Amino acid sequence: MSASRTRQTLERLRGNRAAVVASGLLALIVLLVLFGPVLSPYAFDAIDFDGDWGGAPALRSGHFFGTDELGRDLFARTAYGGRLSLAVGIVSTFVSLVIGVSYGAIAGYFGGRLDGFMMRIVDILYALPFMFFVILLMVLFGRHLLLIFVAIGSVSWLDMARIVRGQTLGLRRREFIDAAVVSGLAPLAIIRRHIVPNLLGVVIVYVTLTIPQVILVESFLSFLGLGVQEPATSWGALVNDGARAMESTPWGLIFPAGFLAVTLLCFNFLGDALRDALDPGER
Amino acid sequence: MSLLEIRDLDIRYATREGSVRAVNDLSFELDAGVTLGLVGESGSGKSQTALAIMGLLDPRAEVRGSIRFEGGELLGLPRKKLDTMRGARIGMIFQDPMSSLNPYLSIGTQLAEVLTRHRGVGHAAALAESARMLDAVRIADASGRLSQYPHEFSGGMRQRVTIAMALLCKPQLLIADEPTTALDVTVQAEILDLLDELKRALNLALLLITHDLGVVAESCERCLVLYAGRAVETGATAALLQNPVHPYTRGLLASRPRLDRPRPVRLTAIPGQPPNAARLPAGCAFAPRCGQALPICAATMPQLEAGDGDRSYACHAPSNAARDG
Repeated sequence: MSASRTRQTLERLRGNRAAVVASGLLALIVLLVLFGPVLSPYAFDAIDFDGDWGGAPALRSGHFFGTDELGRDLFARTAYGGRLSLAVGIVSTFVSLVIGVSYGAIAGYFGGRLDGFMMRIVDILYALPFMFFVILLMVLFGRHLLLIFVAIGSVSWLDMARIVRGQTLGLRRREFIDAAVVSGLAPLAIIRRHIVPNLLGVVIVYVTLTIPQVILVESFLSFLGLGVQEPATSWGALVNDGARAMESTPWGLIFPAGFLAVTLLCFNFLGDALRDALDPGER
Repeated sequence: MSLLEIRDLDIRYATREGSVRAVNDLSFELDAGVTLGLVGESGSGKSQTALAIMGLLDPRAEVRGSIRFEGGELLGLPRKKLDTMRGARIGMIFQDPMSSLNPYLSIGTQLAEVLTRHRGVGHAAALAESARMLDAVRIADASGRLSQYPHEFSGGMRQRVTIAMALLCKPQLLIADEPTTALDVTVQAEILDLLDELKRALNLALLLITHDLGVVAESCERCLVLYAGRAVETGATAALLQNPVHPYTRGLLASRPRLDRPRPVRLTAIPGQPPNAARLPAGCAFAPRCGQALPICAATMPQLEAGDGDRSYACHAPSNAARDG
């Protein structure tokens, strides 16, 4: 993407109020997640045995979001858990973006036997039970945070590859691709310069769907005991803990769930605005 | 040796209905500085011929015969060799300027890409050359418009851009596949004039594919009429249009809407439908629709015969007036 295109896209984004608000909120959340654990007087895994306030959120006690049932500070835990959730969401989505787009565009552009072969591989990977795959990874490599990234990343690119391939099949028939071919461009140059830019709209919308999905998959894995392990945590794991005790201590659910929901909403708004801003025909 | 020589070109597609014969036994030549009009209705094989020259045919097509450009065979050339010719020595423009430019890239980027590919020049030099070319196709404020996107141009302007793109590397041969079909009539005339002028300036060989006899009359020195993938008549445009020999050419000319005659109730049309390319008759493909058909027409394929001057036609029962000259 050229410099002028980037500048133009940013200008358009600035004109979209929802996008400005969403990126502002996301920036705040990222800052909180990065520096929150440092700001809090309590460590994320330290238990406060001095329980006369009942664990409810209060400024006086320094537990801004209250504590969980073990007496650990929820503010510190929410901020700390956000690191993992955001990291999983962004890294896994990025992996799925890079692999999925190149894989799908190559399969769709070349078509024929190569396409058939590449998509059968995708079908086979789809058919592998996800849980079985994760457990297998755990058994082979032991429990490691990195495995969550590998497991989620290796599955989420499959959808992206299929979507991109379908779009590419349609694009390939367009005249400007023929025009690029008769200009003497090599196939990979055509994919890079002419196919991929035209895929951006669809890909970005799909990315904004993938980030939330990936964050939720991580919380599901953690819930099953396959993901992040105590005392470390993530938003998904916090929501699960909070939901169990939501009648007696609702703050345990409200704060992490609120952060999760706001983050996902912001990604959605931002993705939508980005799609519009990237379309040069948008008036 | 002509610049472009096509000999016995056959293009077929294997389908469930059998072998579809898109182009049959087509031969023609094209020299520098000449415009050849390929005329025919939809499905007559004119676009297939162009795609075959450019190596754009569907990989399932079975192609036989020979396409020689500057003496070298184009058919069966490996992709890498072909890519050094396409865009550099042979250019092509397409029917619909709305869809033949990438909507997501600026005009400058798309033009410069061709130059950096073939000339190996830097981006800045390529942009400067692109601006000069846009100027040559008479786009005002050329360098200012390089950063604009295709949707910011009108249809006629976009076709000018695609012409500039095809001519950037100063090719010897330009193939124009119905370049004016998607444009208004007034814009059409401007584009045809521009093509004609550029052809003279660059001494181009221009292969103009059209179904519009008006376009042929206006800008082609020579023309070749196709029917069901076969050449039925060819010759110098003026003589051919004035005095068509083949009944199909006569039919085409009679089917034009005319403003200089009292308006008939309906347009004249050739009776019947073009044949199914999967079930071509043994004889002349036009025989079932032909008013002058003889018994021999259905049985034996007429071969292309030389007539007066440089005229050739493939007909057992050519129109009398023309045969006598």
